[in-house]
Formats: sequence, C-alpha cells, structure tokens
Amino acid sequence: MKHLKPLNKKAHALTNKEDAQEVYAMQTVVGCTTSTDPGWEVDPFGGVASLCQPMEADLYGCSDPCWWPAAVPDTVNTYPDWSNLEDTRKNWRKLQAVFPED
Amino acid sequence: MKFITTILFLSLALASCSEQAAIPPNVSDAQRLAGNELIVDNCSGCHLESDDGSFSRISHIRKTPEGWDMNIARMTIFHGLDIEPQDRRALVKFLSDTQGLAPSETAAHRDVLERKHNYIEQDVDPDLAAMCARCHTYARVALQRRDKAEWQNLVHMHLGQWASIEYQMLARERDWRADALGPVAKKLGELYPLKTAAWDNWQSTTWQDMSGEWRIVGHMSGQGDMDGSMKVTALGGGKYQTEYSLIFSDGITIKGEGKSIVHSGYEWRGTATLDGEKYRQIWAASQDGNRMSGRFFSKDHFEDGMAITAWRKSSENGIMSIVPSALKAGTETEIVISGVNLSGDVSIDGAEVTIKQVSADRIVALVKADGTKDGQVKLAVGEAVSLHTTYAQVDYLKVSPEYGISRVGGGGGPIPKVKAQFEAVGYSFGPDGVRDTSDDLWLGMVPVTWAVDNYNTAAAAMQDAKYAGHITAQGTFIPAVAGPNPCRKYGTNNAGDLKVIATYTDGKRTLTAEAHLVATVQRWNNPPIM
Repeated sequence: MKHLKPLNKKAHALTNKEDAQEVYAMQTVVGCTTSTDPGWEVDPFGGVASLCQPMEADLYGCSDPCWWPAAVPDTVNTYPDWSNLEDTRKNWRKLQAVFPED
Repeated sequence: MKFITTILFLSLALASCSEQAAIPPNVSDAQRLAGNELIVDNCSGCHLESDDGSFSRISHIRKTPEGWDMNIARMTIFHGLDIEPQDRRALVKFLSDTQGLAPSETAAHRDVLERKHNYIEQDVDPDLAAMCARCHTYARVALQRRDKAEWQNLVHMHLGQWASIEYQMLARERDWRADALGPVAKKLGELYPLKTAAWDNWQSTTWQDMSGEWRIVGHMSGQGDMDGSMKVTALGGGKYQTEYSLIFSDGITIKGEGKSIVHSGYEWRGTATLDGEKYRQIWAASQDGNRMSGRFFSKDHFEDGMAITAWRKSSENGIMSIVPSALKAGTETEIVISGVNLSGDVSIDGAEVTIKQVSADRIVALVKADGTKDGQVKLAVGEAVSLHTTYAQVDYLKVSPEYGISRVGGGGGPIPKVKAQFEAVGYSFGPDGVRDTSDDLWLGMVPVTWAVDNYNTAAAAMQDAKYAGHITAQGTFIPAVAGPNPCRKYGTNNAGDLKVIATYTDGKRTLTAEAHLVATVQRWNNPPIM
C-alpha cells in the first residue's frame, strides 16, 4: 500500500486501519457466469439459496455479460432494446417473453 | 418467381421420372412442389439453392415439428424473417414430413417433447451434458439429426450469436472450441446422423389416415382420471377436425372441439377448446394408426395436463383403463372400466361385482374384494382380460414427482406462474411384507392432506415456506408472485426451497412421504423444447 496514495474517504479509512487485510487476486472466478452450472433456476446444491438474490437486481448481468440466453432475453438477438428497461429491479415487469409463438 | 417456380416444377417432374422410388409416397409431388416454393419464397434469400435442388443448411438437417418451428422462430428474431403464420405452419408441416424424425428416433425423448417440466433426464453422456445440457434439455439436441459438418455449423452459430459462450462453458478447464468442434461434433454426428435406416424405413411405410371414432382415457396427476370419446374428421392435407366428449372422475362431462394436424406421419399436434379453456395435444400415433398416446395440456399453463391413451374404435376389443387402480379388500368401491367393444360378463377374481351401467365403451360397477386374493387378480369383460390389484392396506407412500419445480410469475409481469402438481401414490409391501422389493404392489393415487415446509436450515433462515407459495388440497403448489419482495431478507424474490409433505390417514394409522420442491424464478425464453 505504501506506493498507493489514498484519494477518497474510504481509501483514507483503509490506510489508517491497522488490521486491514491483504487483498489477493481471485484464483477462480465465482458465480453463475463461469460454468452455467447447473442451471438458471437451480444452484449447485439443487436449491435456490445460492442464486442471485434478488436476480431482478442483477438481471442485466444475466443477460449481457453472463449470458443465460436459453432462459433470459439477451442484448444481441432477443432483446436489443434492453437499455430501455434501465433498472430491472424496478422495471422487471417490462421484460417480455421472447419466443414468438405461432 | 413464376420463372423459378416453372424451373422447379420441371426439375421435380424430371426427378419424379428418373427417381420415382426415392420419392416418399406419403408426400405427393404437388405437396413437394408447394413446400419447395415456400422455402424459395421465405428462405432462399439466405439459404442458397444448389443445382441438385437442396438448400444450404436447411436440406442437411432433420427435426421434430417443434424443432422446425423453433428454427423458423429463430430466423424471425435473429434475421428479421417476416413470414405469415399460415406459411410458418405449412413450412413446419412440409419440413417435418420430408425431413422429420422416425418414431424410434423420438421415443427416448417424448417426455421433454410433451413438455413435462418436472422430467429429469438420466444417463446423458457426460461430454454432451457438459457441452449442451447446461443450458438446454439434452432432448433438444437428441431430437435433431445432422452430420458432423452440420453439427460443427451449430457450434459456429453459438459462437457467432453468443460470443462469450467460449469463456463460460468451463473454458478455463479445457479448450472449449476445439472440444466442441472436434470430439463433440464427431460424437453427435455418429449418434445422430442425417441419414438413418429408421427414417428411410418410416418414410417407406404407409402413413395412416387418423379419421374415425376414438376412445380416450387419461390421468391427471393428483387430480383424477378421465375417459371419453373423440371423433376425428379429415380435412385434407393431414389436418383434422375433432370433437370431444370427456367424463372426468368427479362425474362431470365436458364437450369440446378442436383441430389437429399430423406431422411426419405420426406426430399428432392438436388444439382443443373444452368448456371455454384452450388446450394442446402432443401425441404420437402407432404405425398402424390405431393407437395414440401423449399429453393433453392447458395452452396457457403447460404444467396442467394429463397423460392420455387413445384407441381407434375398430373391430377388436380390449380394456383401456380401470379406475381406481386398486381395490381395498372389504370395502365396496365403484369402478369404471373403459375400453373398446366391451361385451360379456364382468368378473374379478376374489370380488363380488354388481353392474350399475354398461355400454360397449364403459362399464360402471360396484365391487367388493373379499380379501382372499391379495395382489394382482384377473379382471375380465367377456373375452377381454386385464389385471387389477387388490390389497389389505396402504403400507407406504411415495410422492410423485420426487423433485418438482414451480416458477414465480405474474405480479404485474408478463410471465405467468408455473405451478407444480404432486400426487401421493400408495404401495403395499406385497406377499413378502418388505418395503421396496420387487413384489410390492403399486396402488395408484391415494387421498392425502398436503403441506409444505422449509427444505433445510438455509431455507428456514430465509423463511421460504412463508413466502414461496402455498399448496392446495389437490396437491397443486401455487407459487407466489414474481419480483423482489421488500419484506424478505435482501429484498429477494419469492423463490424458495421447500419440501412437500403428504399425509395419509387410515383409522389410527398415519403415513407420510415427502418430495423436494424448488420454487424458483421465471424464464423469459420458453420455446416448445427448452
């Protein structure tokens, strides 16, 4: 930390904190994006406790960088107007079903 | 277009002279001409036609009707295809008839095709599961036929449309692209090649006309049974008008009508309106055209449905179903025997039978098993014979499905709730008096009371049972509304991890059984094959 200069309030607080822990780069990437395993709707333990809570707050992440296109509209093909939704935690109701029924 | 059509017609006419044997008799020259014209009109802007009359990509794939419909849907979303609904249906029909799957090629995957959303696929090749079945059902893959190069094209399509897939799908542990394009495409090409004897042979059979009078029986999980009749009238081109008169186990008769179409010579797809509600059918016909089986389900709630069997009314006779599935010794029970051309005396070994109503389709009788013959006993109606079960008591229960799924919905959003239906099934220990042995007797649905509770401590900490929904007296779990719930920890939505508890009471005896219910989040992408 001695080569880094704190610029904001939180950084100053961290500098002055004696028991601040070292920060390590993540050795593995966590979360649904790494393996899409086991599925959009079920966590690795067969339940729902480890799903994003609430997923509505993170829904854009599921759509664009995370890619769950088999379950969630994606920003390239099925829902290019995603940006109109803005905050999906508030506006999830505007997200429409994407499979065009006959 | 007229010029192209003329050339196409001449080409087909010449082909029909020189390659008469290669043209399936079930699809006429006129139908082939019309089908090709639809492809030219709607697809050839991108899918180039070769000198041999084939179209790039399209001609090198075989699929189910649902698979072809999903293809066309994807073209409308991805590439702006603008197609009239009647042309979309006609293309699905033509492609399914000329490039479909044989009955033996769909047999292992009909549960997914019939949209049984609680179905858990077993014994999937681990390499293919890792590559395909993390996002899709494995059936979605196994219900396609392509050669290796065409499977590789499918990999390229995924890379082109969803570029980050390469970095997601365990790419940190393997060379995903090389794996997908190499061994996986090779294996798929070997398992599911374009040309098969099964499809060639099926095309050479005579596809049957389904018109006529039919008997139909069905079971709605947790709800009860149905039997009735269906009249099918041919409209031409594989299309049919249908009329229904169905008697449900609560005694109510519901009449209705609908329209159906048969793809690939056996894939019956129907719509029906019963008592103002719209339903769909995904059934498969037998090769002789005298039997059908499949699923009859709500158009708007595909999870609401029943497994059905249909028999054509013909000269043969037989028993299709007996409701209820088992007789408790010493208790007078009303049974309904459904079948075709039923006639003669009704007898059940070890039971007194009193006939209440008789017709060639349906017999209602009061039956009292005397308890001298436990297990499977002979039930006969004249020459028609079936096995039925008598038992002394229900020894244990199981809840079906063991692992169910529901989805939040509604709440002002466009995605409806997906309910979960449970059924308690009774068993007798059988002659050996020991549970879970081969002589145990399956007794069918038994009446129980239902409850839900938190599945584990994590669920209890989140109070899942309080928020995720409720279960009805018929074992139907109704999930809560979608969307973040400010009353919950983290403001999370109403997903929950629950156990479903069935309790059966017989005098002073009480039996319970449990199932696991994942009351989870909604999907916005809901194609016919997930």
